[in-house]
Amino acid sequence: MSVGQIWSRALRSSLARRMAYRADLFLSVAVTLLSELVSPLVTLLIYGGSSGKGFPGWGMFEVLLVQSIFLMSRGVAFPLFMGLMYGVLDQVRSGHFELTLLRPRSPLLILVCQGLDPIGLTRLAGGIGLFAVSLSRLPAPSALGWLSFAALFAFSLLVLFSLALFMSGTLFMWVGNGRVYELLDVLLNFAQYPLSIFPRAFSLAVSVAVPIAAVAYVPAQALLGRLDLIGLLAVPASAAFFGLSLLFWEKMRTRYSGGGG
Amino acid sequence: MGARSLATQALAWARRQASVLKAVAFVTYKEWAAYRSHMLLSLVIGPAYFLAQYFIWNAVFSARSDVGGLGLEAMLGYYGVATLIYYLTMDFADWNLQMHIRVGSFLTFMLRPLSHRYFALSQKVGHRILGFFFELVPVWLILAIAFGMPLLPASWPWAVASIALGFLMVFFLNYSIGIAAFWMTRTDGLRSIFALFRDIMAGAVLPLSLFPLPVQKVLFFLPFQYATYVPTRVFLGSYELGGASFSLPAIVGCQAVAVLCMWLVSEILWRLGARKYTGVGA
Repeated sequence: MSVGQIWSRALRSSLARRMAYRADLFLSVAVTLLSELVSPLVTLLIYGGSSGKGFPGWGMFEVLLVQSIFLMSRGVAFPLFMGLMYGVLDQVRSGHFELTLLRPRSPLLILVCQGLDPIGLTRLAGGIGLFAVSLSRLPAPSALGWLSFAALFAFSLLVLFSLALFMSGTLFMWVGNGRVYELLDVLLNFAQYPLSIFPRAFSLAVSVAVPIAAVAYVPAQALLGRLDLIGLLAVPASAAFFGLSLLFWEKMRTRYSGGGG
Repeated sequence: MGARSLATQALAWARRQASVLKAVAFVTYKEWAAYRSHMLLSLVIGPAYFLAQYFIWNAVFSARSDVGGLGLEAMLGYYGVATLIYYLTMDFADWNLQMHIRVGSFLTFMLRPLSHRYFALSQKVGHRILGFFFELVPVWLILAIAFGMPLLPASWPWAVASIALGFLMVFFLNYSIGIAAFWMTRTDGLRSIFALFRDIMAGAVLPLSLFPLPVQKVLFFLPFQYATYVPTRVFLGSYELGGASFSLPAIVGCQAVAVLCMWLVSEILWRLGARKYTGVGA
């Protein structure tokens, strides 16, 4: 069976599972969209005050552009591959990870396919909507800006995949720790705002060491036509981060001992 | 004689309830202490969340001096106190109840000579005592040392009373949502949507005084502010919402009435829901 066939079967099975509880499905769709709009709401409330002032050097729609790219990136990542975190959490805790290891495919591929969640695409719809509104209130990006954005968006997804690998990797050792989601959320919280609000050292850390700036800030800078050195550094840093995350995941996977199976 | 007998009976009942609460809380404490390393993640998550707020509001206040009637120090104080209060009041009574109903294990609770709600409340007490030692105290120290914010209540008695009422309010709100599983079986979507609105309307995401005035007036009459916003403001020593200011005793009094109403709502929902239960899968 090809990777495409595995992926498509997993997608159909995920949809069928969710359709079993339709009321819950519709509420999940609504909440997925609404919960992602909390940060833009905070931005609106900050800028919506009498002074209309917010983050220095950033207009409201520029900040909303960063946040819309964040939503789009999550909107692609969560339905497609972030489910692997829950897969590892659940299977390592219950001992079912042995079954995944016995399958004639890469365990990572199996986990990604098992974690497919088409409902998460709602986030993407919300992100695209906010992206369109923000862009309509900003100067049109150049062709180079669009090209850079497309390339940098791929790196944004790479960083999210790397984070999923790091977080799920810890679950081979830290069995059943559902709080990795909170850890991921708190890390990504920093990805939703312009880097200029952080101190210089911190900006460098989130651009190079843990390049979460590449998730939304760097692609937004490309569209706004003001990519800087710190943004460009995030590209090789994202690639290195991905390599490290793969090594980490494989290393942690070998620690699985089948407890609870 | 009759009155004395009644008082003796009431005392015996209260002792029995206290003894049940102590036993369940102790067992829950021991059970969750096995996962204390999970809880210790709060030492990273809480301060990191606060750090994000610290950067955001420092940037915002570099361009203005007032947001929603709060200055920078008050804003950071609000987030710091709200983070600490979360460790004392959080629970997952909704998840727990819906899980027992969905998998059928709820049947065993129906057979026990003890209300499930009281059992769940006692569990929360044990869980949050653990949270006090492994989350609140270390995070308080981090905020005090790393951020120079030794957060102490403006009035200890009113802050303790308000946090205790917030503890009950969060429990009754969550438990009422858990009861929905009697009708829906799977309530993940409902619980998530409720948690989202609860957190926004409780003031956990941002102070309610930042919302437009008409919205603040609506929020005043909803129960959610009593879970986070009221305890946080009482801790800080002043309360205002929707253009109205209240003294600490007055707002804590309102909070007590709201908790009583929420208890009543959960009681009604419970009675309606329990009739629907069929125990499939037990």
